[in-house]
Amino acid sequence: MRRVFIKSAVSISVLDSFLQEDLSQLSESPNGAWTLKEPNYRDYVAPAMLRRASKMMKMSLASSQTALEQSGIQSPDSIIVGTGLGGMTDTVKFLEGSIRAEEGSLIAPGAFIQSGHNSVSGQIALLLKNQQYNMTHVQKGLSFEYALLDAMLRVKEGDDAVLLGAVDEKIGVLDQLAERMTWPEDMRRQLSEGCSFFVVEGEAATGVEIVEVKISKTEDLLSNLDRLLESHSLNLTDSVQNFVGYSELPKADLPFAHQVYTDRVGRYFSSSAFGFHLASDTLKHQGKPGDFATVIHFSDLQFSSIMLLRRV
Amino acid sequence: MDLKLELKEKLIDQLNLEEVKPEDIKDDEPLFGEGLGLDSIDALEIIVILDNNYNIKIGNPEEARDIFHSINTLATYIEANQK
Repeated sequence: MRRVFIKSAVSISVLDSFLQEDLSQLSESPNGAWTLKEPNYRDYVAPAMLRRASKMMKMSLASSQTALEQSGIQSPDSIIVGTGLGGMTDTVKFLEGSIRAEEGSLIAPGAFIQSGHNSVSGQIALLLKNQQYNMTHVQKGLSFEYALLDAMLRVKEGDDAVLLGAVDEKIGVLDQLAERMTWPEDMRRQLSEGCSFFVVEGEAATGVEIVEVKISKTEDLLSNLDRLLESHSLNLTDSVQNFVGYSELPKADLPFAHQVYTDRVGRYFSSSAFGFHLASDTLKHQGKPGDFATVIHFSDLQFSSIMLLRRV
Repeated sequence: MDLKLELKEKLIDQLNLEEVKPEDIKDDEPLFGEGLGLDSIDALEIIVILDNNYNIKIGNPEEARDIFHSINTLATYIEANQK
């Protein structure tokens, strides 16, 4: 069975992460200031595409183009994206237009076209003129993990390079919804947004290998984590770092050393992609062959995830 | 307001032509292709502009090709067909 490696990684977040060589060296965001640090999109996206693009689309186009450039891949064998909520800005624009429209009148099509969850992967494919496998996974706080599982399967079945992404944008109504769902204030304050894109490939002499991705019942997560590491003859205490994130759950007291990435970039459904990027950079720049790191994402009361990466 | 100027402002607003000013759009230059560079989604947006603002419905796509050629052709059609 082919192994799967990370060829390139690009993230846009509330930290200064875009084009940052090593995310583990990023300075912390000011407490409570969750303002997206965006690049100058005009440097990465054609004006004709940019003028119609929402923030989510701009983040995705800039990150995906850069990840492809860094990998030297012009057109991937698959484009796979994970998103918890899809194009919220365009969804709201379309729904508001529908509400305002009188019976029998037309509604502007632009927002409708881009409000679909798959509009990101579709626009990237259009831009690249890529007609290969194109998929979007929408699984709330595990959207990136399911996209990653799909990407790994594609590589194991023969794809040479897969463009894999995760993106979610924040709009005002999410604050109101979180309040109505009685989220505690410290969780509401962390509502955020971000985007990560990767090129994953099947062959590499050195680099960071994606060893395993496991979806687990949240209540069994810690025992499943031990079992997973044991199956690879690894021990959690030997990990270079354990990166932990939260979507819809409050922070937990965990019985092992770890770093909480959602404390750095905030909570958004696909934030585990940032944790994954952080783990990859940590192993790449600080690890030696054989070292490993875990990314543990507490999604909701039902399901959570474990990702295991190893330096090769 | 002059209809042509009004049309230019509505196009800029509705089509998110962020860096274009009304004076940048010449009355007789093509809106699609080599001129302003609009595309098929923009054509749909213009159909909505005509419907919502001037109560004009474009039923025949072939007809739209000529009507949407330039600001001049759009304004002429609106003046002749506005209800």
